[in-house]
Amino acid sequence: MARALADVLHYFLDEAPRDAGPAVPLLAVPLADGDALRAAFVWQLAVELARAGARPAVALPAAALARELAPDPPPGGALAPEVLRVPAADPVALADAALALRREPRRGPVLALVPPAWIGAGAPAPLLGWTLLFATPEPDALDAAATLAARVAAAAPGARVGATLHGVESVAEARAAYEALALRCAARVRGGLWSYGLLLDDLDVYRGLAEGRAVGLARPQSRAARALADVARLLLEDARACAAAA
Amino acid sequence: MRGGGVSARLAAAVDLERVAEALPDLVASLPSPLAPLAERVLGLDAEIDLVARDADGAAVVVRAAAADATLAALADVLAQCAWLGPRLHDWRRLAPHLGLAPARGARGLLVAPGFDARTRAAAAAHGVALARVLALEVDGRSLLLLEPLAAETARPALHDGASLAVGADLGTPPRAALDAAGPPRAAAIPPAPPDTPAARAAEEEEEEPPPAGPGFRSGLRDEELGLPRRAPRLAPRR
Repeated sequence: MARALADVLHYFLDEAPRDAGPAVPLLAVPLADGDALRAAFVWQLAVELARAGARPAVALPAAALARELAPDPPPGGALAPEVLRVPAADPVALADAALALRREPRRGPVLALVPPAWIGAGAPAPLLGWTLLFATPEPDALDAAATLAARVAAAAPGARVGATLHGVESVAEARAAYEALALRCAARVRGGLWSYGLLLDDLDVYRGLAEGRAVGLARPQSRAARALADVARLLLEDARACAAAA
Repeated sequence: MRGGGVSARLAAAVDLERVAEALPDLVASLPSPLAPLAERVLGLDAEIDLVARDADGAAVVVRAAAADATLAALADVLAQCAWLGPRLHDWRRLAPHLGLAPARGARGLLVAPGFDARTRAAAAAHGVALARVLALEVDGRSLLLLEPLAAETARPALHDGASLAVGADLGTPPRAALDAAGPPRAAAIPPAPPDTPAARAAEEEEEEPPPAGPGFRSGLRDEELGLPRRAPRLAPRR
């Protein structure tokens, strides 16, 4: 039986139009309300992702972190990540909004800020499938981060949980702290804990927080900006690998 | 047209954009087929046209280039292989179903309508495979063929699902050869290497990072960060 090319073309093509691009990962960041420094990290990382060529967005409950996540005026101009404030203060609405964002054509990674209280208390597993924790090297902080990682793993079995260290005084200290945290997580997080580098609690970060400016744009050669760019690179590489695997 | 055959001729020019789009099908139809994994992967400061996997689990960086730009494209393929190789452990952890074997590393495949002597020599020296792409017009249809240079007797691969199985007489390929062939692409894709628990354990023992986690990752050094600001500690604070 003769077959025209058009008859079999569907066999070779993706279901989705090519312009839609690959699936975009969703990165959940558990963040307590009032955690201004880490909220600033999230914002600065989103700007760095945009600087690296992605088109990120940040989704968060409407009432959370109003100033830290959306400085006024928004910094970065065209590089300013889109911020979506979800009116309903519940995890399902946040998950729906974040998952809708990631379906937009050419959308970069979507960062969803999740109140830690929602983890294990209604946050849907797809929201937590890739989760980033921030931790400092103090034992108590590592214990808290490991507990949070275990809650994420329990709420979303198979989730990829990663950590970025900050408040360190050397790369070696960040490495040691990561390894200590990874050991705490080993029995509770399937696949182990992923490393997403280190960030500096630098004066430039606090200055950016106070001024509502992105460090990577205002002071791209600063130490803080280099660390942000490195963490953004790691996130973007994994995001691409996830998209490639989807 | 003669006795059940159709007229065919080589097109004078090859549309590279079309080649890039057809790369997954083309590489899946090679005599040693590759399994396409991801198109347009943003690699080292540039996009990789296609990342594929061979039957042994090695990643293959595939790049299409114009005939007059193959030397630069070859350098890009080598750079992207160097970039991708160290990331294969992460890819395997993120997507074990892709069947990648990080120990096999990443190799390159450069696709172009033609290659000059310098590109051939450099590719041979660095282990990058070359494949010539041809555009064939058959009975009004335009087909792409991929011909591995290292295996000149190998049957060229066709893009539209047909198979130029008989004679490869470009003047009159039998219609039956074009009509009878279905779309056999999936069958041509090599299966992932065995992923039995024993094979996985053996591979992990051979190549995986320490069990506590995928390992600390940072591209930074203390000097770049102005660290340490005080005496360094090599262990977390107690």
